[in-house]
Order: sequence, then C-alpha cells, then structure tokens
Amino acid sequence: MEFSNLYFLYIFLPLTLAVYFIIPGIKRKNIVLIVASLLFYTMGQPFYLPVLLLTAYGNYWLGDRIFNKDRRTVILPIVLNLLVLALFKYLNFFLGIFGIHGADGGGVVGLALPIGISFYTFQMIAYHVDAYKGKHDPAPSFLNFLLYVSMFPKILMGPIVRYNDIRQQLEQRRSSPRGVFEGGVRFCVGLAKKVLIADYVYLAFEKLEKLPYGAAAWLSALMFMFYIYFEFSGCTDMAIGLGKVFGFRYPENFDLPYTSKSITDFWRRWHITLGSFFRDYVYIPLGGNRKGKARQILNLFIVWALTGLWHGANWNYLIWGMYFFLLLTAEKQLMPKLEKLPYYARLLITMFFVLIGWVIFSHESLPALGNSLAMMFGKGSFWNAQVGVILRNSLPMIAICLIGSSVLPRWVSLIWGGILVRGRKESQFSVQQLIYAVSLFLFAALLLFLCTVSLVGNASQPSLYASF
Amino acid sequence: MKKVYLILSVLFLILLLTVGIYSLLHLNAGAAKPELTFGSLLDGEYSKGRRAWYAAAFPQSETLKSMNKTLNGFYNFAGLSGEDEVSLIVSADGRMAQGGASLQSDPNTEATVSGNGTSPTEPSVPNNVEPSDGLQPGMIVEDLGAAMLIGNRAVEVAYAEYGTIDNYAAAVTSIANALGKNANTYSILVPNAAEFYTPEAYHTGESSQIDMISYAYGKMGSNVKTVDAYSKLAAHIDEYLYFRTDHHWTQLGAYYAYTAYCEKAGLKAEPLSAFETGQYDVFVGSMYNYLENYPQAAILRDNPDSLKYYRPHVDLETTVYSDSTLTNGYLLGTICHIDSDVSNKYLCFLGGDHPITVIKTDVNGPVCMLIKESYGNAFAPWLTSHYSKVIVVDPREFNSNGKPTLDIAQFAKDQNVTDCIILNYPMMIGSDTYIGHLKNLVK
Repeated sequence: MEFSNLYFLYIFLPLTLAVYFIIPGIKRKNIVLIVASLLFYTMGQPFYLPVLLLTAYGNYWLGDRIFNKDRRTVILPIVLNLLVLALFKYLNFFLGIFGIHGADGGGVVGLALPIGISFYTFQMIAYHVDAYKGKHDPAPSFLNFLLYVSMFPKILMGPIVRYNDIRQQLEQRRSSPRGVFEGGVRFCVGLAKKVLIADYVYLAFEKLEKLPYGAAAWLSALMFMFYIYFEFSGCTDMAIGLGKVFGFRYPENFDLPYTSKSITDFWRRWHITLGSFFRDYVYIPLGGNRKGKARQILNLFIVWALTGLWHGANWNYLIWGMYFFLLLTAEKQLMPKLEKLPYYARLLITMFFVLIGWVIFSHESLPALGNSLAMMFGKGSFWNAQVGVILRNSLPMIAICLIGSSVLPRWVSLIWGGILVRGRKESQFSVQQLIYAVSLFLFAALLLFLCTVSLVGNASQPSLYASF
Repeated sequence: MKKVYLILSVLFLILLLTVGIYSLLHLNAGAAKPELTFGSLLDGEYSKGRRAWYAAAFPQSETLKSMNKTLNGFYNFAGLSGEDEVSLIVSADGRMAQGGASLQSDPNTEATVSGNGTSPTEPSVPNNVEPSDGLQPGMIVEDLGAAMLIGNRAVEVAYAEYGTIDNYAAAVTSIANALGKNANTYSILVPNAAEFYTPEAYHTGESSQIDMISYAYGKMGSNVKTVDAYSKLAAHIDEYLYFRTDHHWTQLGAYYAYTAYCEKAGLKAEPLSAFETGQYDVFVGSMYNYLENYPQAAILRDNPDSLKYYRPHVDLETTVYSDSTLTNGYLLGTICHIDSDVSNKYLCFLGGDHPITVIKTDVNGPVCMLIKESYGNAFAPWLTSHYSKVIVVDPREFNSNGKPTLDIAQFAKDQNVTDCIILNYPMMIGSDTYIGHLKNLVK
C-alpha cells in the first residue's frame, strides 16, 4: 500500500495513530506498530509477507545465535541476504545475459519483486556489519528486530535506516507534542509533493515522451527530472514525518539536490542514505582511496556499478551507474578548474549532466534510449506546434517545480520559523509560537484538502522507487 | 506551548478520523466492489481494488471532482490562446484517468440498447444538455494517442509509427490470404477530424494521416482492394463529417466513404435523398467525457453536437451475437436509433459495439462481412442497400483473454461471404493491440 491513497489517509493512518497513542507502554506501542506495519505490507503484497517475515527471522536468528559465538561468521548473513535479493531481483537479468530466457522471451523465474526488498535487505546487511564492527549488540528480541525491519513508514521507499541509529528509539522513545505536530506537517508536505506535483508532472512527461521531436525529448527529460525528485523526496518526507510522529528520527535522504554545484555535490544531496551505505559498506571496506589511485578508481567503478544495479536489473541502470562513475572520475581531475567558475555556471553544468543521467535512467529499452538521446542532439525535427502547446500548458507546473526544488521553500521556512520560534522555549507559551503553530496547521490542512481533491479526481501514479 | 502542539496534533487526528468515519457512513453505493478470489487476495489485487473502490465511493466525490477541475486547469494552463487555437493537449492512453470517465470499460457486459424488435419511435430532444456517458457498458473505446482541444472542437492526433503500420498492412493481407478466392477483401482506411480541422502542424509530418493511409495501402498485398475514402471526405470537409465533441465521424462522413467503396466494388451508391432521416439535437460525446475534468473543455459542453441519422430503406432484421456460433442472439429494434435517455448518441448506430451483428435484409444480393472498430458502426447501415446479409465483426471481442474463438476464414466460408471489408481509422492502424486482434482472426 502506498501513502498517497485515500484509504491510507483516512482509514489506516488515523486508526493506527489512535490505537498507538491510546495504548500505554512502549512494548505495547511497538506491538501496535508491528501489527500495523505487517498489515500495511499485506495490503500491498500479501504473497510476499512470508518472505519478509522469514528473512527478518533468519537475519535475527543468524545475528543472535551464530554471530554471538563467532564474529567471523558475519559473511554468512551478508551472502544469504544478497542471495535472496539476487533470486528475486537479478536472477532473470543474469540468466538473460547468458541467453537463457523463459518460453515467452521473458524471465525464466516468474517472480514479482517483493516491494521494499532492496531497502530492507540493505538494512539487514548494515545491521550485521555494524554489529561485527561492534557498533551495537545483536537485537535483544525478534520483535525488536522485526519492528526495525518492517516499520511501515520506511519499508517501501526508505530511507535506509541503520539499526544503530534507532536502536535506542526502538526501546525507549518519547513522542514530544511538537515532534508529533511537526512530523504530521512534514507528512502533509511530502504528500503534496507526491500528489500535487509529481503525479501531474508525470502526466506531462508521458505526453512529451511520445512526441518525436528534439524539443519534446528535452522537455520530457526535464519533466522526468522534476518528477523523480518530487516523487522520491515527497515519499521520503512522508516517511520521515510519520517516523517523527511515532518518535523515531530517520536520517535525511535529500538536501536540495538540484542546487548542487558539482556531480560530487549532487551525490551528497541525492538519496543520501544509499550513498552513505555504499560508502561505508562497499567503498571503504574495499580500501576507498587509501590504496593508490588505480585501486580507488576500481573501487569507485564497483560502487557505481552496484549503485546502478541496485535501482533495477536492467542494462540502462548499469549504464546510468557507469555514467556517473565516469563523470565523477573526470570531475576529480577537473575540479580545480571547475571551482573557478561562478556558482550558476557550475549549477547549469551539473544539472545538464544530471538531466542526461535521468534520460538514461528513464529508458529501460536501450533502442528507445538511443533514439531519445539522438533526438535531443539533433536527429529529426526539433520543434513542433504540439510541443509548444504542451509547454504552454505546463508553464505553471514548471514554475512550481523550479521554485519547489530551489532553496526558496527552505528559506521561507527558516525565516518564518526564525521570526516566530527561534530563541523561545517550547515549554513557555508565546503568541509568536502560537501563530507559528496555527499557520503550520492551516498549511498542512490546506495541503491535505488539495491532495484529497486530487486523489478523488485523479488516480495517483505508483511510486517508482517502491519497485526498486 | 506543549499544550498548543498537543491540541493541534489531536485536532489533526480528529480531522482524519472524522473524515474517515464520515466516508464509511456515506459511501457511494453505486461504486463497483472488486471481486474476491483466492488469487486476487494473494497477489494484492483484491486489496488494491478495495482501495480503488473506496476512492470511487468517497462521499461528496462530485463536489471534489468539480474542485479538481480547477487544479487540472491550473496544471494545464490554456494561456492566452485565441478562439481557434489549440488550448489543451492531454495524453490519451489508458492511464489518463484525470478524474474523467476511464477509457477502459468492461467489454463483458452488454450495451444498454432497445432490443425488443419494435419499430423505432421518433427521437425526442432532451431538455437539458447532458454529457454523454460515452463509455457505455459493452462499448470499447479505442486506444487514443493525444487528445487536443482546438477552439470548440476536440480531436485525437495520431502519430505514425511505420513499423506498426507495416504490421497492420500484414494483418489485413493475412486475412485476405486466409479468405482466398472465396471473397474479395477491401481495406478502407479513413482519416479522423484531426486531418482536416487542425492547424497544419497537427496533420503533417508524423501526424499526416494521408501519408499513413498511403503507406499502409502500399504495404498491403495485391489481393487487398484498397479504397480511397480519403479523397471523398476531403472533397466535402465543409460539411458535417465529424463530431466536434466525439472522436467518431458522422453518418454523413461514413456515407462519403461508402460512395468510395461502391466505386471500387462496382456498386451503385444510393443517393442521400433515398433515406429517411432523423436527428438528435444535443449530443456531447466521448472527447468531452475524456476532457471534462479540465475547465477548458467546458466549451465543448456549451457547444454540443447534433447527430443526424439516415435510416435504411430496406426491411431489416438485426441480431446481436456474442460468438461465432450465432446462437442465443438478441434482436436489435433498429440499427439507426437510440432511446432519447441514452446520452451517448453514437450508440444510435448498431447499438454500439458487439462481437457479431448480423443484419438480414430483403435485398436479393450477396453476403458482406465488415470487420471494424466503432468507426464501422456508422458505416454498416449504408451497406444494407446492396447485400442480403451484412455481418459486422468486432475483432477485439475474439481470441484473447478468455473471449470466444473466431476463425475468420472458416466463419466467412460458412456464411457464404463474398465481400469482406476491413474498415479502420488512423488510431487503429497504429495500435499494436488492435493489430494483434486482427492477426488473431486468422488461424
């Protein structure tokens, strides 16, 4: 089940919240969260609930029984988790490389991808590695571990939360009234990013990608660029906001990526938890930059090949990963020159390459990808009146996307909060804080209302990242 | 301040709970619930269906949808477009739900038509402008490309994919091959309104329908007789050939294609004056339905179409069948009439799409088979002047997804078909799905 549907918003979520806050005691609250999370998962993909439960139990058991006796056995759960991921996600792809296909030309194994598997598998790998490094002890109970793995705010689309980061919150946490309130507001903002921006942008993208003109190819690439940001960051906002409502602090996943001044900077700001996972669990263990330049380049190559493949078992994702590997490698050489350029020039250069990256990412068919790139760079006619109309139709949307992905909303939020809240204690009443809280409440209620209007009228698009 | 945050948080939760409880108590009973099966329960389809049902049954949905138009209008800015300029382009495939009627209808249910065999009554003109429920149960709407609003007309714009058109031509040729020397095979490809009533950019280059039609004809086998309906239509574009609010042609448009067919088949076309006519004055069709969630589309509602029909002058008995065994059919009262309370007036022709419709006439002539999508519905009545039997076949209703099987060659042989007409418009010759249906007719 996704967050952006009316059933979740008006039935599942309020009932879960009501039961959660009425029931006393952290252990009982945890049980409520586990039950809600498993129900949430079941409503999306009941068939794969046993996969989730079995992998969660298997990982807990391995951590508890084997790891406690011999830490060197850490390799076993890592391999097993990767095997599970490989079975569901990559088997057909790799068999296809060797020319082995199913009867209909598709995959040999007719298994759908369990939703969220890429996220929860990585969390479990991180759990074992961090325990091996002594950052935390194995989970004290299966329920504790199951809650960590299955928590419904983050199971579909992350962020990738490390056990060590929320270990204490699993056992003792307090939902402060302000935290609950701000979490709710953040959820509504995320919902609006998904429903009021990403879903509409996707429709424009769909219109444009069909048109065989250069201008349409550029515009559709721009639309996809906006779509994937508002879609993924919106879902992350919802996850972080809901986590906050329940008293959890999930790590941030985005930091205004479309204001980046280099590709390196972009990857510090885009899907931060995935980047840090590969840095901490692949790049650094492989030696990072400590074993010479050649080895560093090899390590980067491995990291970016894996980053590409994590997004999907398809050649375009691998090419996408390799594309960023090449860009980052080149950028390291050119950085001294690039740093001399003014910010906006660097921003434009970075966004150009990011946009081309999204063109690769959005085409699973390689001939279609080639065609799109060829149209962008001169093949066939560039302009057509239809593109002009769609561009005109989309002007308000483009304006909202440009503003929404810029630093402006953050400034407004900081200034508004700074004027009314900074320096004032939460425990003391003040008119300024009251204005701040009521304004946020009304803002969130307005967004929720608009999302409801849109969800009744339009079907929300399925989230792309939920299928990774 | 803690209390303030607490109160506001509780207020928000109460708001969600109130809407949730209110929604459950006031669900719209008309929304269709998903069917519970073991498979659908396991793969999540049932749960997904329940959520879709809840959204469809959400109370005050009409009010909310009306508000949603404003949102859609904002996100599809019409700008300062002049009266005759294109003001809106909407993607038009199955995903374009946009609050309007879904284009995917259930093909397994029967159309609402009068089928009691009685003589038609003269249609009455409704008092209110009521948008058509263009997607009647049983009616299948073709795959659309892009829906475009130009002034007070909405059209579908086709895009040529010549590889796909190759496949279309091959499918038509394979039917001709299968029929062999038992029957003549005619291909009639007709343009839609976008070809004649749009600015140049929308019917040239990749969207040139004359190019698509010529290309398709050129790729067909020599045993397919191609009919130049295009020229006939092009010569009369100042007449009412196409609806402005619906994606179909008028029966007058179909008449000019019929005259082209007659020339090719060596028949003498009946003059228009030979037919009794009737008219429905208010018809707001499928294109309005498709775009109604955009405020720009109000211009279609405010400028409705009228539909004029020409009733065959021969005696007819029309029977609708669900499969090729031609058993358990039901009679259609007439092939050019619809009850005035049915707002989709295009259903006037043959009562909409059916798997097989057999029109028996009192003409002493050969048997004709018309393979078509809904464009053929307005065309079929013209054929009745020349054939003892006109068999209308909708290829989309056979040989896939648990639908009945149809071996077109065997069926044509059994029915003594001597002329087979395959009639389509450009959105179909570029549709892989439709081409698949055509191919499946040949065993």
